[in-house]
Amino acid sequence: MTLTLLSVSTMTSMMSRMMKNKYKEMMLVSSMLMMMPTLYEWQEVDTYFRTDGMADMLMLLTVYLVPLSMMSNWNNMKDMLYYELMLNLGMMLMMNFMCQDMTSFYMYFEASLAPLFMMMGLYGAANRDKAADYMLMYTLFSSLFMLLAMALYEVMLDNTDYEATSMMFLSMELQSMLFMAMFMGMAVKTPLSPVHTWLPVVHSESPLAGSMLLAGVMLKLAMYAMMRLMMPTLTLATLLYTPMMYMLCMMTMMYTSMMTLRQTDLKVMVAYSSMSHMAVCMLGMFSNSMTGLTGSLVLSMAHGFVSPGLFMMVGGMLYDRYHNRLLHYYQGLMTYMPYLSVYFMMLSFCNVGTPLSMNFMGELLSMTGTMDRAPLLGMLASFSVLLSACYQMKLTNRLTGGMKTPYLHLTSDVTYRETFLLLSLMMPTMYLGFFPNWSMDFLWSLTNLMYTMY
Amino acid sequence: MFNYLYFMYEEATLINLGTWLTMGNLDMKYGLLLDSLSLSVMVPVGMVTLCVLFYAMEYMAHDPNRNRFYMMLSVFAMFMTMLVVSENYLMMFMGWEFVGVVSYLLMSFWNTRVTAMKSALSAMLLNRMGDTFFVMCLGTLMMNFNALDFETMELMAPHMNTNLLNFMAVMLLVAATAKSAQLGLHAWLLSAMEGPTPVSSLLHAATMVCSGVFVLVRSWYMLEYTPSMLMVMLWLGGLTTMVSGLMAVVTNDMKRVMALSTMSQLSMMMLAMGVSSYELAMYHLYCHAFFKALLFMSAGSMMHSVMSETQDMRKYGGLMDYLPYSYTTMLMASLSLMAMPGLTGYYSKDMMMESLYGSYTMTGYMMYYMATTSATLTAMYSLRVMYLTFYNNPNNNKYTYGLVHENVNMAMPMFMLTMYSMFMGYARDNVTFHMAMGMPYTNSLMETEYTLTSLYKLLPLMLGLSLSMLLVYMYEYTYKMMKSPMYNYLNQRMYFDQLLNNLVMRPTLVLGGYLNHYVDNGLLKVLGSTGMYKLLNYMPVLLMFNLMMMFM
Repeated sequence: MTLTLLSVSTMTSMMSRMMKNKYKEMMLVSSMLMMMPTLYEWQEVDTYFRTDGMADMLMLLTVYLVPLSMMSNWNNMKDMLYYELMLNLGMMLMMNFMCQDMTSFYMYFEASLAPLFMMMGLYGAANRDKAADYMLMYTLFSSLFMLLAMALYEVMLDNTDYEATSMMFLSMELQSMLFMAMFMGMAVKTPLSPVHTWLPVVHSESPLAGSMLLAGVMLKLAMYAMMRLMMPTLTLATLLYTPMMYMLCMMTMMYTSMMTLRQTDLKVMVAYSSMSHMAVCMLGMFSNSMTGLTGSLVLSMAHGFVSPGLFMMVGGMLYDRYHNRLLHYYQGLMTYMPYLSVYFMMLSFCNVGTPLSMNFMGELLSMTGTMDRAPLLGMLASFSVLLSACYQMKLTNRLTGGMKTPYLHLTSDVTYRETFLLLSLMMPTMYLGFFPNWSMDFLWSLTNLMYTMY
Repeated sequence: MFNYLYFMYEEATLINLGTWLTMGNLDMKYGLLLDSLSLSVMVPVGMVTLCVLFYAMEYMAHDPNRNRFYMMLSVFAMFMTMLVVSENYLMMFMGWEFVGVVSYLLMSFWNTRVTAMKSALSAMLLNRMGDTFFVMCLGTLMMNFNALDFETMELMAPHMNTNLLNFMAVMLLVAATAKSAQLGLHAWLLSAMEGPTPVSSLLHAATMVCSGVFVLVRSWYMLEYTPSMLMVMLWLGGLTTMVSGLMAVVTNDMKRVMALSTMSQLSMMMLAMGVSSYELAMYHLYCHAFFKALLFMSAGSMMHSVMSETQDMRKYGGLMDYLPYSYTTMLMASLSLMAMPGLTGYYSKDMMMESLYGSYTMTGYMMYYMATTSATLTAMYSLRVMYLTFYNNPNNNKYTYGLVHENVNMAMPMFMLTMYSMFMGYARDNVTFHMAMGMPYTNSLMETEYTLTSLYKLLPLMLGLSLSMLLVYMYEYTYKMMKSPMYNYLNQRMYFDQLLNNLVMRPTLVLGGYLNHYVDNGLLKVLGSTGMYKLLNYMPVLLMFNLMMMFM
């Protein structure tokens, strides 16, 4: 599979070098072709790469977002390398969701950093070197612990296959050790509170497509890893460490929400908001209940639609027009950019978890799961409903209301390309908010992750 | 056909429209529950929405974005209906949340005005506070009942743990407190008066703010098994109704007086629920919607015709000769609100106050006096509004008065509501009787009817009439500036906005700033990236020192 995807990527690169004027289109088509592996039931043909509903959901999200993020940079990036990096990043992420053993997971996990690093270092904003280093160092350093854990698996069990390891029953001490090591990697990637400092920097400096994929897909890698690497194998440790995780998640949620209130950089605000939402996801993930797990995955998916949308809005549409990301400059967009404001409001309301959006379902179910596990913490976690509204509506209110300031020149409203991009992110969110049963069909195997004692 | 115009009993119907989500043994449906409770609320929702839409067509006729306005009003009607006719808590929450969203959008309709944006934000956030608790309640329900529909709840609730029920009742009560603007989370309703008048009339008087009360009545089976919560509700209602009445007496903004009056009427409903007379609370909701919407519409008609569109009553006066029609409608609405016998308000409001006494409990007595005080205050501030706008000497310039006019298109929907405000109350038993059948059976209605001395029945009326006469007398003959601190305190709405800002909002923002400055960009950088960078940089130097020390 790796070879297949790599050869596709190589072919695309070569062909687009041959036809220089059509390279964007070719990259785009090829990124769309990436969805082919999701179309097939790999279990049936006995291939080693296989998926189940949970992975499928995230894979679909990935293949949905990669073309969109390419299109989001369609006009302001005129470099073939950029699109190649995008394509390869998408592929790495894709394989990350597809592989079935920890070693390959680690490999792809690290490999996906490389294109992102290059993308950020080459095409980022003013502080790009710092941001690229932050991302690389934080993630690489923390995932070294993950590698150690995997090495331990290899030594002890002689195997790192998901399924094979989950068959084993490890001793409590070993589980705890492995859990802590794995958790190091995951906490940075999610990111949870003390080790999150890389994310706002990276988001503010990275080019648009980079932040879209980072927020939309790469943060979900941590969720996915929790679900694949930790919960099936390290069951007892997961249960044992749930209080710790809950405290961390709560801290992250409250802390980032409060801090977002004081941010001035639009992209940083969206970055912090995605952190607090991922913390809610994580709460659901550790709830050891059907509701929580479902909610967590659904919220991951919903956040994967909405957060890139918001990034596109502030980092793409507004940034392309005004070339700054400072909140203070913007005011009264409603008067001369009504469509943009309407889209922005819709996305904001989705982001705060208004019903009939997928985010609402995810949040509600995550919180229910959390309340099931730890009633008091669950209650506190519900305050994310209030806090997320605080920062998000403050931002929206500020941007859409008021008079036009003299510091802004009049520009055109959203273009067709941007409308298409926004609608293609809004529509799944709304549709699945109205009829979420469709996404339920993916998640039938979730119950396997639950640890029940009879 | 008359079913559309007023409530007539029909068999309850449950219509299943489809499934929202099935998960495990949880089944959440899109369903309509058309019983006497939801349908009796649908009457004011439908009729007032209709009237307000007609009214808004004229009121907003010259606004460049009027299409957006009408669209949002219609969307509001849709979600309000969803809230009312839903058959489970989830669908109800969808409606609940969306009426909040639409209220935000409508309040921020004049989006170039910063005050409008601010008040919209305030409304959104305070409502979100309530939503948070509603979400908690949804979670608790899903967790403990594995169901969200009212039928299951009704069957299960008596058998559940009282602590759990208390807990859920608290959460619903907080949610209702936010939505129905009870004391503590009421600040948004007063600033909501920034919005266009049709919005105030429909959302912030007749329908949306009532949804908190509606949700509580829907959950009567929970509340009925949590007597302590009923008492909390009584006190909350009693305090709110009195405080809002006191504030209204000294407020100068016309629409704000009406908002405070809405608040006080809503807490009357709370009081009625507190003594388990849910059907009376619903009946007051049913009647209140009409005359309160009419009151706002009359005020809007006045503001619309006065050039500056000011809301400050001190700028009006003497409009009786200029706006006789608006005067009539407003008088009818005010008298109905004051519970003048023969008009709608009397039949809904007086009954509630009586049943407070008729509950024959200590809290009931206390609440009766609080409610009576509030009713008296209602009479006073209603008459004060009438006096300052219609009877007083003209206080604006001549040119403005030259332009004052009635508007026929706005008058028509107002006529309809006037009819409702006058005659609606005559068919009370039609509404309450069947509703009461499905609700806890309390003797209070009977007892109130046959045991109460007529003094307690007539006390609110007597006090209200005599004191409001006194008020007119004072305004006419002994008027002088009042400079007491109490006046300032109440006129500034008890400094509640300031309290909220200084005790909650600002400290949170400051904390956020500190977190950002000292933790995120301080401690975590020092321990993380910067620290590591420095450590790595200075490591060789340290080593060198070390070596030097070794050899020295």
